[in-house]
Amino acid sequence: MKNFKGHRFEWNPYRAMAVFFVCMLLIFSMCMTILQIDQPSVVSAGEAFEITMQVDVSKDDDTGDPFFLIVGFLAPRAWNAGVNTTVRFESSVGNSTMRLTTSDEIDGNTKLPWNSAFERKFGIGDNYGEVEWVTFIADEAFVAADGATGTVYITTKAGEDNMIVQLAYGISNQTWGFSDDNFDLVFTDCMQVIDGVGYPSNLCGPKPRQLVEQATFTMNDLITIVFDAKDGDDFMLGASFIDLCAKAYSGDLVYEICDHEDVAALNYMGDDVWEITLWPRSYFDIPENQDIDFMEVTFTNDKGNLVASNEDGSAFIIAPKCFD
Amino acid sequence: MKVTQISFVIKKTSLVCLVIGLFLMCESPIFIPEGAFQEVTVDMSGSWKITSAYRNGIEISDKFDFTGFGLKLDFDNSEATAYQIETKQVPFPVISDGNWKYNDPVYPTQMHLFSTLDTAIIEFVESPISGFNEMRIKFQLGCSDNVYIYDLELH
Repeated sequence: MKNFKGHRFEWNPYRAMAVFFVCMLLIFSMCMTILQIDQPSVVSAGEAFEITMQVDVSKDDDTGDPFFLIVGFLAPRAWNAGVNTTVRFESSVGNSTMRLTTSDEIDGNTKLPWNSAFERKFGIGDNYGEVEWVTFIADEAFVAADGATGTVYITTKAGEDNMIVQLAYGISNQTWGFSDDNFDLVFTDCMQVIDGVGYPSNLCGPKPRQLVEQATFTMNDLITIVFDAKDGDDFMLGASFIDLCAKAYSGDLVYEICDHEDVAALNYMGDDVWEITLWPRSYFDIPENQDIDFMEVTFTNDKGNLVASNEDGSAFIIAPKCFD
Repeated sequence: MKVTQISFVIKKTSLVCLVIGLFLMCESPIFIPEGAFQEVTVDMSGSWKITSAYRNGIEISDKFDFTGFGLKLDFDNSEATAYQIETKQVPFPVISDGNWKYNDPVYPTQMHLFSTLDTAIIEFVESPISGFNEMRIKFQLGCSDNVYIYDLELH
């Protein structure tokens, strides 16, 4: 027996099993749909709030086997949602609490732990970064041979920092994973965290220019501010020196060091890249009992009248970014 | 008593004496210096200066002026004693003067620093030993992702 390419067709029991398994997947799978999500558009920093998600499971699954519901929640890393979030569901086929998935619990489709699988499959939406998928699995299995509807309740807590972020919600189940219609996903509109600490970081906006070499830092760290004259406007290219003009905000107080060539000169690193390493506390001579909330910086060149800042003329913001 | 019996007794007695004598000869007094089993705490008193600095494994000695820094440690065998920071211009986990002590006085792996404003733990990369005049310390300042190492020298 030969196939259409003329190769000899040999009976391969493994291939047959694989085909059989795929067929089984097509026959015995479920269709999971998120019907609606209720999520506040504005929350206060540090506030606990609840999100509800209406879920439908179609009756495509006629195996009658029990399934463990998986829920994915995309939240800012700064919220530490793995610790600060509880999830449960109520449905027409039973209720259950949910717990965090472990690294041993994987999506059979991507072969990744669930949180990594969600990120691989769905990404992080409009956020430029600094968000993470946190995934939960039901403590109780449910049987939905005739389909089911239910409500997932997610209670979480906003972090202390002001921000704008896009959250997302996904569902799947442990048995079939991200195959066929066994999952659904909704990215909601960007929401705001207000009344919190610091200048709001807009994770939904364009990724801000990276000014600090360290990926994460607080104002107590020794930070290296990097200015690449090749980014943005080109009028700083070829400058013979570049100075930092900086303000530190500490509560209601503002400390400023500008036009101070001795301490504020950036070091030339080559290729139109300049940098300065400073310890904000000593740089601004902050009293021992005060802390810096955030900094504003601009850069001036040897002519003194050229300032590189954001396109709208505002100063660059350097705000702490740490997920401890 | 026959002559053979007498000689047997003499032989046996002398053998016993010989063995005892050998034991006595071998026994010499073992000299144990006074305080040898007493556990001694490493004296770190003095003024320490930074010779090199690292952030996240990368040397940053040339990126920042660490020269003004001085850490002055007083030392008492068991009690927490005072420390002073000579310049507060250089990053250090505490920003005001206070007291310090080892986490374990015999096998110290950390220094604990206490001031009225803050407290900090500084790790020894290698445990200090007596008579040393260099040490390598490891600490964090703000975000736990950033690890700093200073090499310090006794002045």
